Amino acid sequence: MIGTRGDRRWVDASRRSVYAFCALMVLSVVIIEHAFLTDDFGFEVVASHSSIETPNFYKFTAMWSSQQGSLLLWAFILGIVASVSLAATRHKLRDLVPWATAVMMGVAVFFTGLMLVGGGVNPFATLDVVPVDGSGLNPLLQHPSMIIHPPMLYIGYVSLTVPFAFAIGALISRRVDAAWVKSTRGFALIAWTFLSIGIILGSRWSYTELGWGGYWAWDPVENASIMPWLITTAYIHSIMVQEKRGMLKVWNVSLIVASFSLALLGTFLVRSGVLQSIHAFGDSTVGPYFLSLIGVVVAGSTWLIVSRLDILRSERRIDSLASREAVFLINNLLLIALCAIVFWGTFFPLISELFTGTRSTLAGPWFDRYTTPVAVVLVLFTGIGPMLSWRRISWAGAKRVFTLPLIAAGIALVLLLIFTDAAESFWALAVFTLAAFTVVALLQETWRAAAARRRGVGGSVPGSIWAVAVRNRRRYGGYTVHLGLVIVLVGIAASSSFETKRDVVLRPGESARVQDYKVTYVKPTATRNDQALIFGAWLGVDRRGEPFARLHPTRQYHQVTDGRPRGIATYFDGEATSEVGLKAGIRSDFWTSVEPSTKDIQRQAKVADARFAAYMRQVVQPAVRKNPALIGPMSEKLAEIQGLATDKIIGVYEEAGHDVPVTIRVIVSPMVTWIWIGAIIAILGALFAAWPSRTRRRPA
Amino acid sequence: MTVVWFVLMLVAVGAFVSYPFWGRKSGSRAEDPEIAALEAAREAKYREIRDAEIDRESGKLSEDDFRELEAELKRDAVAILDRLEALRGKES
Repeated sequence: MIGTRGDRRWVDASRRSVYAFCALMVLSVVIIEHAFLTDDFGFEVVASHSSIETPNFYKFTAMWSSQQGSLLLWAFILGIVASVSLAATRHKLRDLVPWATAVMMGVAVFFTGLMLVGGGVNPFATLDVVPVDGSGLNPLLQHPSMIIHPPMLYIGYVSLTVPFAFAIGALISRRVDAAWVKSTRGFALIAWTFLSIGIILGSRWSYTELGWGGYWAWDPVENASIMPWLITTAYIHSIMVQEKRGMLKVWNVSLIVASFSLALLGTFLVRSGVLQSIHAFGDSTVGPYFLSLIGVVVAGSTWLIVSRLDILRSERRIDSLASREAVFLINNLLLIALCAIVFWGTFFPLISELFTGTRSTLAGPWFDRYTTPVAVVLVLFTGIGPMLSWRRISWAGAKRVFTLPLIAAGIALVLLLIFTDAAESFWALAVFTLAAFTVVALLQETWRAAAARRRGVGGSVPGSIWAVAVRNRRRYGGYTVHLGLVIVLVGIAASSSFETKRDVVLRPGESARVQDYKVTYVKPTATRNDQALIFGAWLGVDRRGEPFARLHPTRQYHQVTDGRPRGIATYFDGEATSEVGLKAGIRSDFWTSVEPSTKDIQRQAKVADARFAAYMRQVVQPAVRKNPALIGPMSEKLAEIQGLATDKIIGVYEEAGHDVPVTIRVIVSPMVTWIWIGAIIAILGALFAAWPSRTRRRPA
Repeated sequence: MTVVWFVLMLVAVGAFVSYPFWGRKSGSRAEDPEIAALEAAREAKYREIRDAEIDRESGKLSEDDFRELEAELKRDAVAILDRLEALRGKES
């Protein structure tokens, strides 16, 4: 901050201190990762979140499954994004950067301070007595998506620190000008992209790992990730209005403050355990600190915005409602309405407890009822926005650009009514029809620009589209994002409205019909690995008499990790996870999970455990007391015997004649694949838009 | 040993951070904020002109509307360039 008075050496030193912070965080992460990979159970975090049997792949990712590790990950990512942002602006934003540096490092001090003095969250805490083995990693987190989902989400959350810090810097230095807009927009877009990747990977994990058959459950932690995403989406649009028309300045700084506060709230929800969630892997040790930080951020930013209202006045007013800026504003209001609904639904348990003393939760249907109409209108405006010009569009211009998309929407509506049962769901029908409108509008926009270029300079159609897009990355990157999101919404509308879900109870050899499919329970399977007993079912699926798929859903019962003596029966007391049997397709997904009946196995396991314990008491322990040197060889032998006993017991499950019925959940869900395809398109579009383009100098 | 490592790291970080104060240089040069803001505004104005061109090509703006808008945007751009030139003249 001293650097703002003129001596640039102080600014350089502060930037170097951020680089040094980043280097130290990298070093910290390397030390912790090394401890995980080498089974150094002297570290408390390693002992409580890994074990010798944990696959190396997951040892590497175990760091961020812990409270301590995820705080370190926050600080590590903050070190990187702060360094990158300061390196990118080292010759720019002279007045603003020192303040932005102070804000970013203020946040860094919070996270590193929390690790050091927050109580039980120091990743370098060591144990006085080093255990032989660790407790292991939560089996739910042992999934490929979980390797990349948390870091991506965290990069999104943490990246929002940069536009927030630059916004605060701009307010303090009274420089809410075009240079600030340019820098902050890029950082916000990057944060949005990573948030999107994190959210979609989380959905994919939920779909394939949690065994309930859905990709979005309106769970508090899921909601915590979508809220900053919605507000950042609003910000990316409204900052363009400020750039082009000098309007919405208060709105924009408020949005970026809200985005960052919601990102902190997201981290708080995952890490505090204040709301029950399938994704909440923390406890409440850090909750009060997080709430204090959120309070400081909101109160401080609000005061700053109010004190700078004189420099945040709009330079112009909206000329016409038929203009792009007016639609962007409506789009902003819709996104904020969505965020408000999600916020209310997420925190309703706490609000209801505060006022009534009873904790009530709002389930998925409540969220669906209120978010669906807003999302449908949003699809419409996603199409209308790009079709309008800035300032105003004339009647003749509107006719030219709206005719084709309206015709397309009309044709889509008629075809859907005649050839499909889409009319059974009003909202789904509305989404499909409006999606046709939006997609044709976006394609028409691109086509016309490319055609104009071809008329001028010639070239092929793909070449012209590429040239036009590269010359206007923001616009066509944005269109691609819109296209992707519309596809995502179509996938969500189709899969949620026309899903068929059935739970069938079958014995081996029996079949059940679900829509056009015949599901046959061919045979049970039972295996084990180092960590779990795995019971599954081979399913043969025919579609209209033709073989369609052979699926193998399984249920895995993980050994307890709470320190109690482990036996065979204790596998059934630990975490249970599902591996679904999935045949994904462009038209629909055929999804199955299995709930094996393991009562017999559990009974036999308990008998075996009791015999084992008696043998230990009567034979092994007296022998070891007599000759302590026997402990090593006997332990090995006992482990071998216990393994053989386990194999024998679980082997009964798949023996012929052991025809115990199992519950098989079958879901036929149309167009789920389009959710993942749409998300990939949207993310590629965002990357295309965020890619730096060469600065063009042109004479005015 | 831990203390030695700590001191070594402290010295390395201290030396790295304080490097700008070692020489007589007055630190890195940074753009004048006024100039930077005007350059960003100029870039945004050029983008606006390009957008208007695309809007004309895609049929949203008629030829007359485009000419009117383009003239206004170019006037704005010229005003920004004039202010930039004046500031740069002052600087040199």
